[in-house]
Parts: sequence; structure tokens; C-alpha cells
Amino acid sequence: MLAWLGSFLFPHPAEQLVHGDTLDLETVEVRAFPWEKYSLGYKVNTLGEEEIGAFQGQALSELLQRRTGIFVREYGAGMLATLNMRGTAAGHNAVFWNGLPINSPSLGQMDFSLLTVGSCDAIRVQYGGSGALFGTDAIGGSIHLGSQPSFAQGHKVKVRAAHGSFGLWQNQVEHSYSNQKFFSHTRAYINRSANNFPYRNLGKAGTPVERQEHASVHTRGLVQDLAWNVGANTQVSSSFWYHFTDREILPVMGSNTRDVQEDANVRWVADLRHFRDQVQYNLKLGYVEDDQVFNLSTSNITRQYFIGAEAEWQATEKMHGKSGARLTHIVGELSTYYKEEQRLELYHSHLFHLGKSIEGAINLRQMVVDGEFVPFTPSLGLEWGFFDKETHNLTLKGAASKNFKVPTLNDRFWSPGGNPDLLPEKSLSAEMGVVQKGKRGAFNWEAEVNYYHMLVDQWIVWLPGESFWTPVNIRKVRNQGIESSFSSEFSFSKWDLSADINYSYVQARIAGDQEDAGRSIGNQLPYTPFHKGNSYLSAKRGPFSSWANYTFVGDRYVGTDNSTQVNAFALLDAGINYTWTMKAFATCRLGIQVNNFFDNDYQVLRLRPMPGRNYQINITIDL
Amino acid sequence: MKMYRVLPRFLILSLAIVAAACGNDPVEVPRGPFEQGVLIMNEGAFGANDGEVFHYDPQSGDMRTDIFEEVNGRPFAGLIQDMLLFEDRIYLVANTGKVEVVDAQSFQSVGSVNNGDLDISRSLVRVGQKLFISDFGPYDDNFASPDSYVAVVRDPQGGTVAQKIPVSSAPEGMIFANGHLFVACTAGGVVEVIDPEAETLMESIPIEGGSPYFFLEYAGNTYLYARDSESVYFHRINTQDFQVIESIAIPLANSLWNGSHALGSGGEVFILTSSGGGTSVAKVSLEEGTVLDESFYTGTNFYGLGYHSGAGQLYVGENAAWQGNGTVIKLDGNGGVVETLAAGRGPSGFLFR
Repeated sequence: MLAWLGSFLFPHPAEQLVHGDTLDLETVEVRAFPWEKYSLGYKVNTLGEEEIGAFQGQALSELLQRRTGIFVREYGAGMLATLNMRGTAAGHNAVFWNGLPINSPSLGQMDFSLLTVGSCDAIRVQYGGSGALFGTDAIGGSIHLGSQPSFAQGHKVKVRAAHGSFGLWQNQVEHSYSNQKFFSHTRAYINRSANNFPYRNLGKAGTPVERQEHASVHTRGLVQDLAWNVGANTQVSSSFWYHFTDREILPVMGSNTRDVQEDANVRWVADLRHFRDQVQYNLKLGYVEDDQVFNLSTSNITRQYFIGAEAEWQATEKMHGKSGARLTHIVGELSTYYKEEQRLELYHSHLFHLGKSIEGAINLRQMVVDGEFVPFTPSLGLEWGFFDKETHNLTLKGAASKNFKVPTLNDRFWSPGGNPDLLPEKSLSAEMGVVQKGKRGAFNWEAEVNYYHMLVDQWIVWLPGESFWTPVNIRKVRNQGIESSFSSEFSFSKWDLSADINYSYVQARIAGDQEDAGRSIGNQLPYTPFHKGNSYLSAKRGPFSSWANYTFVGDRYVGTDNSTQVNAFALLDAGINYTWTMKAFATCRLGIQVNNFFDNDYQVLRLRPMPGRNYQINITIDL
Repeated sequence: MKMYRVLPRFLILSLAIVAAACGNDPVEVPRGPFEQGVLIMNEGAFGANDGEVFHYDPQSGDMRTDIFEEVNGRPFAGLIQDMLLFEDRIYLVANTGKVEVVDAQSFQSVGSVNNGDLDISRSLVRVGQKLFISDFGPYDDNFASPDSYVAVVRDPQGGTVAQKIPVSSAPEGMIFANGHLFVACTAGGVVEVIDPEAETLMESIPIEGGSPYFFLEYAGNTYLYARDSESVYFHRINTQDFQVIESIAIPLANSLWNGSHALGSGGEVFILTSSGGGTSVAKVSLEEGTVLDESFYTGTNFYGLGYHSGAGQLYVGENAAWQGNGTVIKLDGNGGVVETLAAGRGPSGFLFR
């Protein structure tokens, strides 16, 4: 029964064995991202086992900067890192972990340097406004981290250690056990970096090369995933994630600050899934706590309690959807205010078919914040497979959506300056793209090009007031751009080759504001490069594999006046791995890599130094 | 013998020729590119350290941007709190904990105080071969400044801090008068008097009326400018016996928190005010102790003032709400706009030469 339900509820069902006309029901897996089938028309990027393995122990910001077309604003190596998705602000992307929104409700954003890559099994990057699917913050896109239970695998142990330049140590230990009914996966990690890289200090006479003395980063964490198949129709799962980061805040060149920051994050989610004829019920509970301590004294704590219920159903063979509700109770204990808030979300998604080759999805969402309705958000996505041959197919796709972001707790209640009268930021977004997939012999490829256009209004900007700064809904921004990607795999003789190439062109023009008497209208938003691209090439033969990754980020303006720029930079990273089996029970992989091969002196944000050439050696043992 | 007679005549004749030549065609000493004109101090945005100095030539209208970086091949990398001229040196005081010393003509860097000794530097006075730098000291947990000091550097070209003289909280403007250094302590509510020779604190002058900010000299007197939310104050200081001789309170509300003001002609003082989301330039009379014009010029985001006495023009710095580079608005004696100039990030002060 479970497997049969999986076949229509989950387009990529879990392993299932067919013996004649019966189904083996013993290996049921619930996909980590059940929303994917409702994201028709959007660009979704999958970062899988290969990418996660390559960046294990590192921050998610590093993975996104080097392997996607997204520009990551990094305030120095290991420091605060936020996304610039399609030219939007740091808080204009939603982040989910196993279906829970984990953006800080006080800051309204995520620090991607605090998300360690090895803490999850799968990552999806969904581009474009998707408030109807994901709720607040999803104006530029959304990031999804997920655990993937896997049954009937027995015991597995994985140990990974890495050592690198500038005092880098990364250690992760994993154990998983599963039978046909029970699954457990435990991960523990400890990473530290002195981060004492040499850099040219532009803030001093003679621009001497000095070692960074105040940028060390220590992280540790524990992840526990559990799942039970309770009877033939019910599954219970739970995931827990504790993460702690202690870091010295890298001072901007020319400053002598010695700030330190600790971040502790606790996340827990539990799902009860019950499968009936044509319907799957899902009850979700969750808890997210973020505790940030600045300079060992100023504490800002937020807690989010979630309860959600969802029913996913199939009315006919070609029509199914889901309906649900989520209630969130937020408690903010900030250094200058205390606030509790209730948020209720009602949503509905609907899949439909038009003819044989057109699929569509309608998504609807209404959020109520403390009794106040925020803008109703619909979206429509369509995909048309207009050319379909055995070796080659083309799909035309498009989506349109209305999106929103609820002002953060700090925006509304920070004392002094908070503005409780702020309106939600809102956007209208449309996009269109073509996907080509092909296979010729041992050559597989997938290419995609998308164009998007977006208008973000009531954009919140903090402006100086008489005595203190206060946020106002003042800015309007028109974003448009092109995203393209190409990935391929090719095998010949004993070689396996692969390539992934991404390129993004982003325009984010100020369309109207009042803070500078209109002088910046038409200008590009600060720290939004027009061009961002990367390419990844790998070659494998027998036990050896090698790879090279090239990242390019174009010039970025520093202010809305567009008069000062930070120079473009390019990075080449390369590595080689050797894999061998030890006494038939252990698989080992030894890797050596060089980052910033050409030792380029670069800054992502102005006057915040980044490391030059650096090395890493790592070993992974699978038992 | 003949030579003996001729030589004095030859020397006299030569001197006469030289004197005549000097009178008709003087030898010109080369001028540095920034010896004349207006230096615009752009403070820079918090967290970005993008303070810079622009040079404006009022004769030609030319504006040279980012002259520190242009001349020295590196960004200023700091937030410029004050810009002061002493003899042939200009001192750029960054509240990010450093002082850059540049040649006053060429803007070429000649030294700095930048070895981590300073915290939140505010202003500087040069006394002989010593530099005295007012500094808030590190913030405490409540962003108060209980460990403020005046740092002493015993070299006009910069170098290491030799001494830190503890003073009351948040020292801002300073003046050297009658052999003593006077320090306005904004949060402490006092003027500290320092013996620059001994590098010791001599006395604290309590100030009744407003928070002390800066000093100005007018008609041979030394005044302390102070402010609170209701009024501005000019306290006349006796720099010999350290007494407040006279306190002039002028009922001007909402003067800008950064104490920005400029001394005009005839005892007129221009002061920035902020109210209802807008900003204004007010004009008060130091001699009469009255507000002459509360709205001499109005707009938004005004941040700095400077008075060009030679041209009789007021320069108003506007910060574009810190979203990008600002502007400088030149006003005539009636508050009419003469010209608007593109400036850097947060134009906050001017040096007229």
C-alpha cells in the first residue's frame, strides 16, 4: 500500500520491487522534498551527494558561491554570509530544513555560514518568487535542506577528517542503522579554523601583508534522524539538529574591532504520515531556537513553535493536490524588546494536466499575522513538453507569482527605531525558460535557460531619523535577468567525465525611492554583480578522480549611487581523489585540493579580506 | 689695485640687478595640488569604512574625488571623524581607531597612528611636536564610554601612543589656548584641562547647560559649543583661570546630535537641526544670544556644515540617508542655492584654504 501511494504522491518513488503483479512494500522512503512536484515552471537546482560530499564540513555559503549562479555576500572568510538571489536582499529568500522555515524571525534572514553542509542529505535551490508555496521571505527564491531516511541498509559508519591551511580542522563521524521498519542516522561534527590567512592590509601605510589575527571560527554540531514504519500505512519520523558556532568577527580593514559572536541553534521536527486510499495525511510538529550572544553579553533569543497539518490527495488520474495549514508561535527575547506573535497560514496546491504534454500547478496561500491579513499570494506554473524524442526532449516552462515578506521582529519592535506600522514587502514575479535534455550513447546532457522579471515594492530600508534609525517601506526595485545552466556526463573507455556550468546575469534597478531625492533611480543595487558564473569539471578513471572548479563574480557597486565598485574576481579550485577498498569492509577516499589556485587577492565585500591560495587534505572512510 | 676698486661696484650692481629681477619677476615656489580650494571630508558609512576626502576648486568648479586613494594608492579605510590642518600637515582622524597624517599640499601620506592603540578617535590637536588625540575608548556593554582618554603621540608625523590621559566620558572637540589643552567631554558634561608638557590632567570645568561638543574662537574669546534637545549654548571660557565667564543659552530645539555647526561672519553661527523627518540650517547670533532664522535653509539628510569666509558662502553636506554618496549644497548669504556638488559618502566637514 505504501509503495503504491508513493507512486502517485511522489513522482520519484522510493525503491520498490515488483514481482509479477505484487509489490514489495518493505522499502518505503518518503522523499525529502515533497513540494517539488508543485514547483512546475520554476528553476530548481539539485545539490546532491557529490556536492555535499565535496563540501562536507564547510559552510553552505561556500557550496552555493562555488557551485551555483547565486552570489553570496560574504563578510570575510567564515563570517556572515547572505544570499543575493536574483538581485534581492539578504532576507528575500526562505530557508527550510526538513520542511521547517528556519530563517531568524528577528533578523528575517539566514546566515549561511552557520549551516554546515554535512548536516543534511540533500539540498534544493529553488529560484524565483514562490510565496504561495513557501510563505514569507520567498521573494528571490528558497533553499531547502533535508534528511533522507533509507531503510533496510543495516549498519553504516562514516568517518571524515580534513586538515588544511590556516589552522583548518574538520571532523565528522556518522553512524546509521536501519532495518525494514526502523531508521536511525547520527552525525556529529567539530570544525575549527584559526583563519589566520595573510592579506594585504589596505588600511595601513605601505599596505603591508599581515596575518589575520581576529577571525577564528569554531563550530560543532549533532544531527539525529529517526524514522519508524508503524504498521503498513503509517510512518513517524523525527530530526534533531544542534549547531554551535563561536567566532571572532573579522574586522573590516582600517578598524580595530575585537567583537566575538556565539550562535547556538536548536532545530527539531517530527512528522506523522498516514497513507489511505488516494490520500496522505501529514501532521508536522517543529521547534526552532536561535540564540545569538554578541561580545559575551548581549543575548538575542528567538523561539518558533510549529504545528501543521496537510492532506495530499488524488481526485483523478490527472488531478491531485494538497491542502494544509500551519500555525507558528514566535517568541522573541531580544536585548531591547520582548514580543510574542502568532502566524497562521492556509495553503492549497493543485496539479492539473492540459492535454498530453502540458502540466500545471496552482498554488495559493493566505497568511494571518496576529490577526492581520498579509497579501494573498497565488502562483501559477506551467510546463509544456513540446518536443519529445528518445534521445532528445525540450520543455518550455513558465511561472507567475505574487510574493511577500512579513517585516521582521526587529523591523517592527527594535527599541529604539522599530516601526510597528510597516507593511509587508511584496513582489510580482514572472519567468519563462526552456529545458533541453538529451542522451546520445554515453553522453547525457541537460541545458536550461530562464528569463525572469520581478517588481519588488514596499522594500524596507532603515533610514536615519532625528535621533535613531528607523525602517520604512520606501524602495521599489525592478529585477530582471537570465539564468543558464548546462550539465553533462560522458563516459568513454575507462573514463567518466562530467561538467556543470552556471551563468547568471542580474539587473536589479532601483525603480523609485525617496531617501536620496530620486538620485539613484535606475541604478543597480549595491553588491549585486551583473555577472556570476562557475564551471565544474571532473574526470574519473578507476580509483582516481580529479576535478577543477572555476568561479567568476563580476564588479559590484558599493552604494546606490553606483560610483564605487569592488573589482571582479575569479577563483580556480582543483583537487584529486584516490579511492580504495580495505579488506572488503571499508572504502577509503583520500583527497587533496588547492583553493584559489592562482592566489588571487580579492574581496567579496569591500575591505573585507579573503584568503589566498590554500590547501586541504581529507580522508573519508566508509564502513 | 684696479680689481680692488671694481669688485665692490660689481657686487653692488649685481645685487641691484637681482633685486630688480625679484621685484619684477618673482621666483614662484611650486604649489601642491591641494594647497588651495576646499577639502571636503566625507565621513563614510558605518561598517564600510569608505571615508574619503574630495577636493573642490571653487574657481574652476572642478571636483577631484577620493584624493587620499588617488595620491596614496590605497583607500582611506576608515570613518573620518575630523580633518585638521596644523602647519604643513593635515591630520585625518578616523573613529575606527587611526589617524592618517598627510602632507598639506600634496596629500601624500607621511605617517599615521595605526597600530591598534586607538579605539574611537574623535579629534586631534598638535602642540609643538606632540599630537593629542581625543578618544572615546572602548564601548562597554551599554555602548557607554567609561574609559575615555586623550592619547599622546610624541611625533607630529604619527607613530605609537606614548601616553593615555584618562578623561571624563566621550571627549570630542579640543583647543589649545594659553598653554593648556581644553577637552570637551560630551557625556561627562565637563571640560577637562590638560597640561601638554606634563601630559597630566589639571582640572575639570563643570558645564551647566548642554553637553559640551566643540570650541570656537570669536572676537578674541574662546567659546564652548554645547547643546541639548531644547537649546544650544555658548559658554565663554577663561583659559587662564579655567572658569566659565558667561553662558549664552539660545532656545533652538532639536540641534543635530553630531553638534555640527559653523561660525559665519559677524558672530553668526549656523547650526543643523532635525525635526519631523527633515533637517534645517538655523542661524543664531552669538553676540545677541538669539535665533536669527530657524529655517535659513531646509531639506533632508543634512549632516555637515562649513563656512567659506572668503566667498561668504555656507557649505551644507547632505548624506543621502547613507544609501549612497551625498551632495554638498552651496548657499549664499541669503540662503539661496548657488550650486549643488556631488560629494562622497556622508559629507560632514570642510577645510577652506
